[in-house]
Amino acid sequence: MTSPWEDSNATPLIRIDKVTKRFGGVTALDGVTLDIYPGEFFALLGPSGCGKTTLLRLLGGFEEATGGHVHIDGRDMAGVPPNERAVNMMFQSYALFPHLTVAGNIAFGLKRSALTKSAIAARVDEMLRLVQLEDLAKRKPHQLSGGQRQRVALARALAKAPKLLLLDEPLGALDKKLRQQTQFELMNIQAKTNTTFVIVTHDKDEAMTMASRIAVMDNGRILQVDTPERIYQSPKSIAVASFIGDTNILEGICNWSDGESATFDWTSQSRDMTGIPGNALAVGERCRCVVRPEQVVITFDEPTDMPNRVQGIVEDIAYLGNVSTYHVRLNDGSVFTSQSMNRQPLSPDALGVNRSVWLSWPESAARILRP
Amino acid sequence: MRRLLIAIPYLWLLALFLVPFGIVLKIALSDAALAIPPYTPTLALDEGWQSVREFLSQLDLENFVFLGEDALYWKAYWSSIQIAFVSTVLTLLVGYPMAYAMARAPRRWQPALIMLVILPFWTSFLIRVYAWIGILSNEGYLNQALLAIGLIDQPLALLNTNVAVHIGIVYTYLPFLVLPIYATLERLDESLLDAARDLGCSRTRAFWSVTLPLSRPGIIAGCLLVFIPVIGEFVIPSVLGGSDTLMIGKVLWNEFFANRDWPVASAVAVVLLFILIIPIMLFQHSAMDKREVTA
Repeated sequence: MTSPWEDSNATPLIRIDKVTKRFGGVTALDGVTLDIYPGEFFALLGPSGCGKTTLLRLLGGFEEATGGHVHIDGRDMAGVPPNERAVNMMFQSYALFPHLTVAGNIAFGLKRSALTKSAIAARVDEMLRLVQLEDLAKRKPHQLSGGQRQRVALARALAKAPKLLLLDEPLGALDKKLRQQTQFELMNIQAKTNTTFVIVTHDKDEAMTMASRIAVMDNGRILQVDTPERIYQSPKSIAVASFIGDTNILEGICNWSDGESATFDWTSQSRDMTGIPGNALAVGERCRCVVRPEQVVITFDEPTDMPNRVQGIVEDIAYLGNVSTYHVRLNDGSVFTSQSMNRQPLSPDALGVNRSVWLSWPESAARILRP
Repeated sequence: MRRLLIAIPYLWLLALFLVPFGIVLKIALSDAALAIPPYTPTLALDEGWQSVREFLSQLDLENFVFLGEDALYWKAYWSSIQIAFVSTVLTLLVGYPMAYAMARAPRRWQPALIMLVILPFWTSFLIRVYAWIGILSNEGYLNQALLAIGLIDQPLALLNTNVAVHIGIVYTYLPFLVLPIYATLERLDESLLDAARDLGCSRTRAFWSVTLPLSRPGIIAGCLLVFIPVIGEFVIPSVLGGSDTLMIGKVLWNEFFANRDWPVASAVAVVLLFILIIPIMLFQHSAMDKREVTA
């Protein structure tokens, strides 16, 4: 099955076209263009202040774009207030009504629709079952734990069966363990209700776990839109590569490229290295190469069959149980990171500090990018 | 040590409320007399147990019976409650929009706006009430202005009517109502209004179903802070009201200073206190509720 974003005939649910948003002199969104398809679990990822929440509020109708157009389900959303959009939002603070019970909160939106009393009660029950809060229907929000409040907020936002659900840092207020558990629940509920989810998060693990596609944002612009795998493995810029996970960055000058693969002269080592160009690169152009630590193999002997290799001295080892991270100092003084799984218990004479080692990585693990 | 700490508020209550109340109650149970002090019997503790017993035997509920028999008092109580109720509603109608506008004003303006609400307290209350005579009298600024713009051709008789009393009460008690409502509105999480709009409410609908219920503690506190003291109000009805403005504060003053009937005046005060205890208990109850919610 082709994914909708790869299918040129698919119609997007949301079409964001060159949207700009300025608050006074501050540009929060700078010419953002983005299509989101029905049924997607779409994540807007970026550091705080990157414009992701502004974009979400624009979809919800709480902000008006300064320039550009937002279409939802084929309709231009300019001037359409939040109460007239088939869109619901789950707020970062949950924004539960403190004077209403759990059931009252969930029923709040339904009471504004044309549903009969019994239909509303049935829908509230259905929502309570969906988020497993049947027993707490009569509680007030201040009598609930953080995780329970989060579920009420989700149930309330889903009660009207919106085409599109916007989630603003939905797991931000939960502790780590609960967060991981809730991530899978959110994915289940998304699949069950077949609602399009757009989620805002600053947590890359959260975005990687849940999203079908991720838009990485910074400074009001979208840096890259891709699936989690492609964002991680084929970043299109250094900013995306370093935002998504740890990475080694090598500087050099490109000396050959055929589009499929390329070589560059690693300035600090004066060695030719190979890799896959992430952008179109011209020979003689300065470039940077990113290599993920877990792709770097450590050996005592020189791996002569590997095109990309470098010698160094182990400076320190961070033992994390399942993995160990090795910091290896190269002869130019820079530190290179390698990470490997600890499949067997470490023996003390294995890789010790101050051992001279070789680091190597395959061509496919190296992404050559514009600096 | 802990007992001592707990005892302090009770001693306070005893010294500043229960003892004075006991004295007033004692006078209420006495009879008026041409003497100094103007009632009998008086308690002479130095004459031993026998005299105390004699003193107690002379106390009776005569004055309370009298209050019940003379329609004047019940009319005065009832009229005070009515005036207090109407002016509390009027104060709420003026004060709620003010508090709402203050809470919605830009943050940096808010301290100045609160200042403006409190500012009248810097002048004597009595002078401010007297100033209303200059505004409301037949030749006053209000009538002059209305005549000048041609809205009326005869000056309105406002002064010495219940209308003037209501105006005076609304003006005087407005800050007591605005500040508690402002306090609840100012704390209102704005994302709740976003959520209400998101779930299908228009702005007006969101006000009625979210803002208003959430400002209820402030409304109750503010209304009781107006209602309770207004029932016993004496200055405003006597300065701005007419001869037919009947309020229990005025009756009390007359009994005490004009008739020099301290026992009846004390009985009036005791009954007033029992009437006030009901709204005061309601107020305490709502304050407790509020603490429970915020805790």
